[in-house]
Amino acid sequence: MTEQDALQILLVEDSSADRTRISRLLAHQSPLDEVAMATTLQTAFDELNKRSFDVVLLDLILPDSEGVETCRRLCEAFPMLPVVVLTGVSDEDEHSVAALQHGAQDYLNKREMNGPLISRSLRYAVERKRSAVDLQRSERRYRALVSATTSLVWSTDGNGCFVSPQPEWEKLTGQTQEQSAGRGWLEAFQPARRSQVNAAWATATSTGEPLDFETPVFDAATNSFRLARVRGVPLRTDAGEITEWVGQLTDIEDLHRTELELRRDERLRSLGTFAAGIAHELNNPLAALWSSSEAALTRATHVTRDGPIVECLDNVVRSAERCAAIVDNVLRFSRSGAGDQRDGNLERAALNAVMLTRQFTREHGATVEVSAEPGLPRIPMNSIEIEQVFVNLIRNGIESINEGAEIRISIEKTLDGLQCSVSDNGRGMTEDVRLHAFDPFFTSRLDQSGTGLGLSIVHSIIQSHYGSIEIESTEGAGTTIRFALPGSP
Amino acid sequence: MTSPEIPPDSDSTVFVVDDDQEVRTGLQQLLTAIGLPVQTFSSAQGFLDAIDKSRPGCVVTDIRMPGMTGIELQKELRERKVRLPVIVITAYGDVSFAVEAFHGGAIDFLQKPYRPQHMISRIREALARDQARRLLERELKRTRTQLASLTQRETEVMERLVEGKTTKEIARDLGIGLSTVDNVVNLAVAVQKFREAQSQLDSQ
Repeated sequence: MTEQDALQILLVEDSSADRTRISRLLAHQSPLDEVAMATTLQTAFDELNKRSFDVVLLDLILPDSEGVETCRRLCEAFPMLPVVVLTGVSDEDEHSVAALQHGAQDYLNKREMNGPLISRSLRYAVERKRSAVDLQRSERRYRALVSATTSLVWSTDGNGCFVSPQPEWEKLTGQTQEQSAGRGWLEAFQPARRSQVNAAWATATSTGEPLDFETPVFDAATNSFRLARVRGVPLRTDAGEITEWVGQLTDIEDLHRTELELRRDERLRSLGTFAAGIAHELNNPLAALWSSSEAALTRATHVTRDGPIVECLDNVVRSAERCAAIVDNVLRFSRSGAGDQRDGNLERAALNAVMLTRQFTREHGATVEVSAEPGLPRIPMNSIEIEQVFVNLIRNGIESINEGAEIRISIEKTLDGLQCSVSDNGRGMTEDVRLHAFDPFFTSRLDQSGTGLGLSIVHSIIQSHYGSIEIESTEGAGTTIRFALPGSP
Repeated sequence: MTSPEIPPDSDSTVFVVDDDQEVRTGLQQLLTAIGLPVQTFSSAQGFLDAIDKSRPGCVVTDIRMPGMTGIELQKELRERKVRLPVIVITAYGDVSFAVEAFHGGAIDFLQKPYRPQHMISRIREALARDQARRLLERELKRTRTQLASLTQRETEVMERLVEGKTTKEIARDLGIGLSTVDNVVNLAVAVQKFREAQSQLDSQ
């Protein structure tokens, strides 16, 4: 945030003299700021529900709420909102400290206030709140993953045969005790990987070295194979003979996916930075190329209306224009996700996007449907960027089929935020396309109508919102892109 | 107060300030091709050293340049009371740059690579604006001279006009011809214009 950024400020203060004084100081110090007023906590809530503000300047003594309670109630209702508390004369120490503990970013003594001080305090409050929220949200994403990891214990005889009941194994794989007995447990691994599992066991039993391998194992709950890490150690008699193996099986599917996702995110981020660097460097020579070729074309046209030279120059000008469009797109991509985030309504963003793409939808004979679970909470987001996400996904879906696309957008609550899926009934993606779909300039459309940046922009916006995104697709049966956004911390 | 219908003075010059030689050449070629005089400078300081306040025209300046930036140049021009319209161009467009440029009084902010036709029309607007301002200033000067040379009798007429008397009343009061009073009325109208023009210039 720079000094120039204009703030939307809500001043909650019941004394009209203080209101006038503070708004005058602000108008003088930072004339671009907009100051709205509320005289009670209730009217403040009404204002905040109506539109978004960057920061609240809050007097603690209001007709309908007094003291630290005022601050606590506001911070609880609007956890994303930076608050600066105004303290009176006598209540300074006790209240200001308590207010900070209840979520305020700063306090100002009304007696010692001046323009620069208020302006600076408000801007620091916004900045500080943002970093705190950013940190909290990125931490939470990984904490959730670590705590969700499941792991079970197993035991076999010296040859790797189940000889006793293995309730945890049975629960995970859905095998009965009879099915898994002896070497029956091998059936729970993917057929193609069974020889590999056997080999790992053979090595372990012959050398007596600990067992350690990673392979997908059947998970009955999800009816799918999930990546697991299997570790085991031998138990020996005094004579050194192995009588038993005990070990652990840990589900590392989520960890593995997160790792891949992180690697992908990192790769895309550095690609974005790199591309932006090149794009900026190209702006100057492109400006020169475009201007000079236009000048040459103008002069050539004076001499002859058409002819080979005019044709050549016309082609140069048009190519310069095309380069400019590409560079512009790259810069848009590298800038996507840099906007401010405030509490916003995801369903509203989806509906706005539907409106924005109405023309496109009609031209392609497509339909777009939005359904949302009732009572969705507001979540921290940049509404314009999230609208862009929907617009890109809708357009992509519509273009995935020649005519008559049916796009379904559905939004629902999750434990810690919202999840949204956008499905189409189009061609679907091959595995190779799916894996590269977020890469810049990757496009599967042969007609070159796309810039190849639509999904890259979606990805980087979702990422800047600490969300996650994945693609599910079956060739010939359509694609579903699912993204999740965390709620307010 | 853009008045595009006023043709630019034939000696209106586009002053291009950019450290990138190709960009300077590109603009020079583009503008000379349509008959606009251009003078280019590779640095803000070089332009400031060469500037002559009486020359009509407009400025096209880059932001990021070694030495003085385009934003600083705008500030310096303001301090020297050089009122040439300024168009800011940059290869590193972002919102904060644009805000800063407009705060500094720029009339336009274009990102490189600008569309040549777009640049031309912005420059024409800037030149028309400069032209209109110069006309206004000349008129101001004339009115100022006329005001300074009012005779005793004319001053008396003026005072009565301000009191709200009609021209006939004034002619009768002072025992002078109606045409003499009318002359002063015309001047009063000019004075009114003068005030308006003055405030217009101040707000620019």
